[in-house]
Amino acid sequence: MSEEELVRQVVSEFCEKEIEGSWLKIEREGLDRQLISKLSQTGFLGAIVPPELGGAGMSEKQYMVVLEVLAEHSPSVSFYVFLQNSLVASPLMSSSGNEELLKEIASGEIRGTMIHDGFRMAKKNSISINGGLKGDAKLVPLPDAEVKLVSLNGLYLVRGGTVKRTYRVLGFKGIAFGDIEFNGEKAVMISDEKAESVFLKASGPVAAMAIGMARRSINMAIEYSKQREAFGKKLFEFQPISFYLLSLKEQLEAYESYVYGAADKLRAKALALDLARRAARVSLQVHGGYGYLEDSGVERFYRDSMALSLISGLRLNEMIEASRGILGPGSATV
Amino acid sequence: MSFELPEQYEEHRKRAREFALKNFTEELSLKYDETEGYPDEIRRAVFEGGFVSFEDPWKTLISMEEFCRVDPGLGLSAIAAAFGSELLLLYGTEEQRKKYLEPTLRGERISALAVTEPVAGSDVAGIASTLSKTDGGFLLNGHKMFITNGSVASHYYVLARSSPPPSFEKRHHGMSVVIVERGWEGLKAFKLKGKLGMRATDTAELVFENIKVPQENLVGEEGKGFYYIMTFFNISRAYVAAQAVGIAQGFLDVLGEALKGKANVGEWEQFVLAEAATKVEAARQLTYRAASLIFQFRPDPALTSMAKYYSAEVANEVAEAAMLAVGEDAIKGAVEKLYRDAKITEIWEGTSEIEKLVIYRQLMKRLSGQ
Ligand SMILES: Cc1cc2nc3c(=O)[nH]c(=O)nc-3n(C[C@H](O)[C@H](O)[C@H](O)COP(=O)(O)OP(=O)(O)OC[C@H]3O[C@@H](n4cnc5c(N)ncnc54)[C@H](O)[C@@H]3O)c2cc1C
Repeated sequence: MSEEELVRQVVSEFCEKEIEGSWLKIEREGLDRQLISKLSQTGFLGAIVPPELGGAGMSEKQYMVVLEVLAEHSPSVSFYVFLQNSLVASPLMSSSGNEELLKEIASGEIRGTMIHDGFRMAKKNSISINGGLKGDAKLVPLPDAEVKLVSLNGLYLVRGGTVKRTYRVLGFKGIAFGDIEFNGEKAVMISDEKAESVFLKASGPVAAMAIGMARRSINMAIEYSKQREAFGKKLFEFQPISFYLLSLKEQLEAYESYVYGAADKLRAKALALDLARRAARVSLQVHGGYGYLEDSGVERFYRDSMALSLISGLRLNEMIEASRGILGPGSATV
Repeated sequence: MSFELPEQYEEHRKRAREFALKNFTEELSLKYDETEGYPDEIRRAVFEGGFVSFEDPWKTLISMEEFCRVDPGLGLSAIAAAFGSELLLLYGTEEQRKKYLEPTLRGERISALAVTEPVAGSDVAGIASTLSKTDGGFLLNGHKMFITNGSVASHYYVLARSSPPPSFEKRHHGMSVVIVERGWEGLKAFKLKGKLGMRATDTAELVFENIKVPQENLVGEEGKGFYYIMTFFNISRAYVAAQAVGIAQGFLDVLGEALKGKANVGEWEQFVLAEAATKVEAARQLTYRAASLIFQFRPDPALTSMAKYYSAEVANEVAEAAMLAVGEDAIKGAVEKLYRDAKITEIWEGTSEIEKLVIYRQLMKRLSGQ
């Protein structure tokens, strides 16, 4: 068994035991302390953090497998782990002096989040550093996280900030989003990296989450199509239903190996997200009215796949970037 | 020949749009989306404002489009307060119309149409509820699912089996429609919560246990229920098409606003808008043509199903394109809500798959000269 397969097996077992029976509770009430501590014990919370700092020191592929399998069972939990690893631990690891903080992140004692200028920030009251951080930030996942990485002319580490309000958004209902006000909190520059580059590096992990969502959507639809009857036939006996599912399954297999194998993860991400959205739409359709209700566990993939597409980068910019990678620097300018 | 709506309807459109913009405030919209309550005050205002009319169905259709453009949940829950009532217009007795239809159209009652069951949705003839004969009427037993207005309606138009089917192929024989009142003994309604979208609409599961239905509450003839329901769907699908056109237009508005505020719009986004606008216009024309035939009492079921299927597809395509173009801001507020509201148009009152089967059958019928 390869290392990745081993990880897949461990995460699957964890999900069956800890998530499958409580995903709806997680959607409604969020991730509780107990689950967070289990995510830490298994090493998922600090998946990419080196072992000497309490992490699991996983390779990118292994980490992607973790996210993929978690996303099959609960995209909210997967997004939480992604946030702690790709958006917080990863930038902290690329600069020195953050060892203690990384330990706390991997152990789940401290939660982190990222605030992205121009992308996550209120457009009008953009924040600025003037002897401390001043201004408002909007649409921040986990706004009450103890540590925030704020992307301005570089990445700044900030503790605190006042949470003005929290709300749920289109997807990842298990995770609160919110608005934060900063009033002179100390901001320490940790690197000149920008959020864009953090997100770019996270393309593989995002693609893996998308693959997980697509797989679950497709599997649920296949299962349902073998049970549900209409007109005296099982749904999968109808050609259109079978062919939709066939086509999705084929794409899933092709994209899955592309996502894990491609050198350019940005393009893999766009494809995987497209597939996740399409798979969720078809799955919901195959489930008919039942798929429309939260308890079915189907409609969340419809919301979460779109939410992930929106959160993880602007599509147009990525297409421009990808075109230039293939056609050369002058492409897609007009 | 003109493809334009007469001036009076453009006036009506303006009124409907103004009404929606004024009454479907963001605050109300988010409140009902969150609580999944039933917006009774909006329903009353819609009926008082003359936005639902059985005498002039174009008005209802245009209201539907303009309301859904702003808020499909609120708009639909108000207009659907008379859901199913065309059945009485077509097949009801004078007494039934007086007792149920007229007060519903005055906004004093709310109706619901109960067809779908846990065991059968698309396959209408596969339902299992039964009507058995008793003195002076029937006993109704069964279980209905996903019934719009189910927990707020004052009466229900219920389809159930009144005699056993002659064969599997002829399962659509032996079904009847009856009117059941909310307060009658044996009726239980359980509100369904946690819908993806259209959360301002009320949806419920109904259980019927030995409900006594008097003979005078039979709609039309016994045994013809399936045909009545199909005839009804051939009308109501035009309204679902209008919902979808409205939602698609709503997203076109979102897209337009997003691009208007941008310093530099590249050709890609220009194409996205152009393609979306073209599809919305095509869906609208198809819907109006199907509706115009229905409203002249010469419906074309193929065309109606085309309008419903195509408009729903367009609504969902334009929704996706607009969401991706807007980016992260679309994750919260009115835009994400519109996205969640769009999907239902591909499911209710005949899924897109069922519409395509109807289109095929109708076209083949025509080809074979029937
Ligand atoms: C919010 C909401 C409100 C509703 N309101 C009402 C209401 O007021 N009154 C009412 O009676 N019902 C109502 N419905 C029910 C709705 O009309 C049904 O959900 C719909 O008809 C589909 O039926 P189903 O859910 O049983 O799916 P199924 O019939 O089980 O279909 C499942 C999937 O199989 C496909 N399928 C079925 N047969 C075939 C075939 N022959 N070929 C190819 N594909 C096929 C369908 O297209 C669908 O994709 C409502 C539903 C919802 C979600």
